[in-house]
Amino acid sequence: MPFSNQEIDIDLLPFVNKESFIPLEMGYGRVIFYENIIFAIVLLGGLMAFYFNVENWEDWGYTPYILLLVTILLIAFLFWFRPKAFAQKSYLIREHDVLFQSGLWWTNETAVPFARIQHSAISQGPIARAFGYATLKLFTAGGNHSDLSIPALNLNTAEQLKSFIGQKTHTNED
Amino acid sequence: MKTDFSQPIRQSNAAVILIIWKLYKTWFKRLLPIVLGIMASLGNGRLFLYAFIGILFLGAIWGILSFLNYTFFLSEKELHIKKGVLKKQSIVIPFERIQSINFKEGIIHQLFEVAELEIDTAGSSKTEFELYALSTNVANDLRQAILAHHAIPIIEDVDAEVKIEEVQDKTIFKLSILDLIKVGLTQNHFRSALIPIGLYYWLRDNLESAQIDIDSVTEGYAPEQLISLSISILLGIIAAYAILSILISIVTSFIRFYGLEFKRHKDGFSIKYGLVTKRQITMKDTKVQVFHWHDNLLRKIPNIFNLQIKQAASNAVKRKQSSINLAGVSPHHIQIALDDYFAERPHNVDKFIPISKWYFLRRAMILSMLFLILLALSFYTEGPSIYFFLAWIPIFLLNSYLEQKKKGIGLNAEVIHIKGGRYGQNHSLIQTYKIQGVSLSQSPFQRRKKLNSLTIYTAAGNLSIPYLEQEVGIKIRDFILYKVETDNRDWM
Repeated sequence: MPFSNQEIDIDLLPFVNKESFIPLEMGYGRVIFYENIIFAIVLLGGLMAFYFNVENWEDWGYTPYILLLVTILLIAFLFWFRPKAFAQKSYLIREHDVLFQSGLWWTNETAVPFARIQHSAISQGPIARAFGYATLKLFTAGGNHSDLSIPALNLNTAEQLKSFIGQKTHTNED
Repeated sequence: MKTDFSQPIRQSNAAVILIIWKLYKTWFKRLLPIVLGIMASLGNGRLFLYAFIGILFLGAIWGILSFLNYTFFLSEKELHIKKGVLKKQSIVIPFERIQSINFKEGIIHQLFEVAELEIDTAGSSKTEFELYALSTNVANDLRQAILAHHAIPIIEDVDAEVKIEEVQDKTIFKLSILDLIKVGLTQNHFRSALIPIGLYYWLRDNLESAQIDIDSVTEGYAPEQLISLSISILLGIIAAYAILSILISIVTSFIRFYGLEFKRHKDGFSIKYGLVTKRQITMKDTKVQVFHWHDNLLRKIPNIFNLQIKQAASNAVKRKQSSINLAGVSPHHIQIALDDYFAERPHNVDKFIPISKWYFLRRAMILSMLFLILLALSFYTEGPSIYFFLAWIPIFLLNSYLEQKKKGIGLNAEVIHIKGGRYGQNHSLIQTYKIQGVSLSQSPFQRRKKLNSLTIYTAAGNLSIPYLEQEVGIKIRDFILYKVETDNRDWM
């Protein structure tokens, strides 16, 4: 193939349309809610077990109260923060690449061309599976930070995206 | 009879034992301290024994469930794996992406006449797939079925020693003894010199708390004598430290780089080095990912650089072991190496886009506030330690200023060049089509000022440049995507 080196006008490059980003399934909020509940139960359970085993309350002073306060604050934070952070996530599938946007105050937009995807996976935790949601994971050779993990997709959507991207990987090789 | 891989099948039954064994090993490593803690608090030996047996039993159940839930099959172009007990995963690996298929046969494997198959794609260790036990027939059939697909370009192990044609090789660069000494002398000694200063203050504070009264010891001496005595002691310590660290640097340089010879071949590089054990690293052009080179303040005098050529490897450790590291290289040698590698393709970038002045200004604002706080505190606290911290702030300011001035990104049709540095300079060069992914990030402050930071992901580590004008960052990102998506060359 003859080597050519034409000048590229940067202004004519395809650009990323921020409006086109697709948000994740709103219903996933329920999954997050139940995950938080389970986490809260485990945390409080651990705390109760600790309280149960304390023999001499006076020795511990303020520590049990502080622990309780910290635990409650942590749980409250999770219930407030996780849904908010999740609502910010969105993705965009284009002809040759996929982009994923995330973050509340510190935002990040990662782009991976299909030709650079090594393999893909669909992953479902037990609660997400109960509600019919899945996470699409796209792995690259660029290390963990360029691997994309798109959660809160309908299982069908995730399957479709996975096979769509799979096809793109093959056609790019020809 | 060949195995039919079109329908999902499980691993060999022997896999259960191996899965459970691996599970026990992981649990043991991670949970041992917790287990010991519980054992200590429970006190009751028998209860602990029951708990231990219970855990082993749970592990066995989990292992069996893992085994039952692990199936795989082959489609026309891909390997499909379904696994998971609680978290179910369905993984698809295109044949073209498979880098290597490794057989592992430990003692247990040989006992049961099975083999473990490890399938690697390019990338981190997360991209390794282990089939713990397949009967040797099934394993061989699977390997053949995958290799039969024409699309697999690389069959050899990605990390295997590469044989390069020694034809047309020329030596670009060779380190002499004198060069080695230059390298040793110009190491960054400053870093090690900082230690005694902090040490002095720490020592003094500790002496005071141990009630060794420094004043009573120094009472008998006149002030001028004391000052000259302490200055000469300080100078003596500094001199001793400088000499010691220089000696250490020279010795380490000798050990690392003795006999270094950097050669260029028809389509690759190689280096030989080593004092006691001779080592050799060869690198094919196709696997080269990034070029890094840097100097420091001291190295500006003899004008020598460190050059590092990194290649793709399956994990960070192997990447480090397989990268070419050169010290004492002149800019002329670096230019030769790059000219040879790039041949007719353009790799010299003259115009660099600078980063926003806010990189420095923001740090300056924060540091100034810190300075004022510390200054106010100094009126309330005793001791020179706070002045020590105060003295560092102008240095941090200078560092930020220099970093901002030197940071820049340049690009042409073939490469992206990111430069930076503080007192010295550093450069990173990558061919755009070899990039794996790219991201833009924004902190709240950057959003207000319409700036963003760009990160480039490669198979040999990340490159980043902070505080670009928002539009510039976006355009560069779009350009990178365009280049990767239109260039048909294999990145490795």
